[in-house]
Amino acid sequence: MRDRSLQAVLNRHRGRTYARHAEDAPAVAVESVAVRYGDDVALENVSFRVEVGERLAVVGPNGAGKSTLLRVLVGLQDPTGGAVHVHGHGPSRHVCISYTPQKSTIDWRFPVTVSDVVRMGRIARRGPARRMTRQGRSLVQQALRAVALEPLAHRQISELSGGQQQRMFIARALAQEAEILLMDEPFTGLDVNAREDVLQQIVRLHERDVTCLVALHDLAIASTSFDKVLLLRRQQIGFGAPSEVFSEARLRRAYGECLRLAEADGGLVFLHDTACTGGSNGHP
Amino acid sequence: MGILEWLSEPFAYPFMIRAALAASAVGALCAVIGSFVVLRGMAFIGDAIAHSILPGLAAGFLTAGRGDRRILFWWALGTAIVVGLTVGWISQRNRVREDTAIGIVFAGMFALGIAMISTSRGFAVDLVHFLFGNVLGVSVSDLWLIVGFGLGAILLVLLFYKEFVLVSFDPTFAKTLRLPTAFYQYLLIVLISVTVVVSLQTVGIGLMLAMLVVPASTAFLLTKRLPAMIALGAVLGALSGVIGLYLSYYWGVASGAAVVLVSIAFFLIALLYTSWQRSLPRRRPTSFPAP
Repeated sequence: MRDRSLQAVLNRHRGRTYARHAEDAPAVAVESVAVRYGDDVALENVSFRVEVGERLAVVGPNGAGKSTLLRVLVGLQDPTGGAVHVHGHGPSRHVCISYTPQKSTIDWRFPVTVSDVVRMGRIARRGPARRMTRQGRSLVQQALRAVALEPLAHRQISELSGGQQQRMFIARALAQEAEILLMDEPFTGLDVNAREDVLQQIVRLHERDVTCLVALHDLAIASTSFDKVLLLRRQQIGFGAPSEVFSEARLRRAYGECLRLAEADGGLVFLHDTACTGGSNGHP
Repeated sequence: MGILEWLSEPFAYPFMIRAALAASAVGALCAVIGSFVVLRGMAFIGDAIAHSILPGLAAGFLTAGRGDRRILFWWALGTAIVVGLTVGWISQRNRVREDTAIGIVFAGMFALGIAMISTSRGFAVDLVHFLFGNVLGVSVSDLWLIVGFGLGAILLVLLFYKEFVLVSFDPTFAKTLRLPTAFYQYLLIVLISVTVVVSLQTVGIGLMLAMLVVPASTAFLLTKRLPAMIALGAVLGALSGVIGLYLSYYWGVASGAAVVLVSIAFFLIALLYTSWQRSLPRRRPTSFPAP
């Protein structure tokens, strides 16, 4: 899918070529990736593939390397071992990957409006004289409409609720024409309704063939709303469909001996055994 | 004495006109660049650049003598840019905590400057000029330098406005769009350096931080969007400059201090106003059914 817009042609001319997507390559292919800081291992032996349009939940205890993995996938950080391919190329040659950092890294008092933030998604694809093209403006409008934030477009970002803030970032990814969306703990601090709301948006992205990789803590959401699950604790403990990955043995390897798994109404229930004292607490 | 007379009297002196132009131009420029300083939390870097200029000034002063003041400008500019880029480079590595590193550069350079100046005669007088500025001594050529470099800096901000906003708001996202974020970071530091040097004669090294931070923060309290914040900050900065000069003329207050005190008065008024507004009971949304 080669971008034939004028800006893309100009960019190629200036040597800022963005990688062409290989047709039959998976959206994301990770081969024995490792990240080490000196002797410290942050990630090791991670290998998985995500097909175009799939939803992957990345789960694991705090410090398991979820954020590190996302940073490697978007090309913010190079792995110290192994290889990452996004649509057949190294991640740093793409502008089709949208990355939403943890909420706490954003300064919400920053004097920008919702529409300002969504427009930021267009910066890499501006037209001649670095102005936004008409197509870009209509994409921004469509993105705001898609996440139902049009009425709040001119609000300062701190006036949004937690769920609306996550939807704003999804709109920014839509305006960016992102084909891969990476989100780092989008559900943290959201109530049940807001969580459902964001999940619905992720389902819609799936309909648009956007591949979603989401780091999260809630195993129940991971097992019900995602096609595949990657269970991490510095190493890859499991990868596959949620029902295959979430076995009690694997979960204990990830979270320690106190985790119990129960089945109810065809779904999985994750319990912490308060009477349990043995095993690690999940912090390696 | 009528109010008009009172207002126009100082401007019977050409040096007062030059001073007013310089003070308002510097006030506006500092607020424009200062908006990014405030939003990115770079106040300490700005202060460090200002204080680190001293050895550059001293070197220019000792080599050129006090006859040619113009040469001091270029010495200061060179020093500011070198120090700014060094500090920027340090803050991208994380061997030492960023604020510690900046503190060391800041204090070290300042001490070096004082040591150099102290070897010359007339030490106290010259040091006071550098530290607190002397806007009443602005010459026509100084004014041209202020306007020229100030407009240049503002033009660059306008040209790269969207990039500066993105890099300030969400640097990680900027990197994922494959923008050269380090370039914009360094460019911003160079612009801060230029602003500091251009403003030197108005408020001096000691009070530079106030001009960078205070009008922009006042505007931050009162606005919701960045373009409005920058514009309001520029107006407040320029107003502080002119009102400060009046205070200085009629009450014999040091001009730099007067300008800064006026800008802080604006800040306090804005702070009181916004806290008063917040304490008002919120209006019930119209869609909410009445009990």
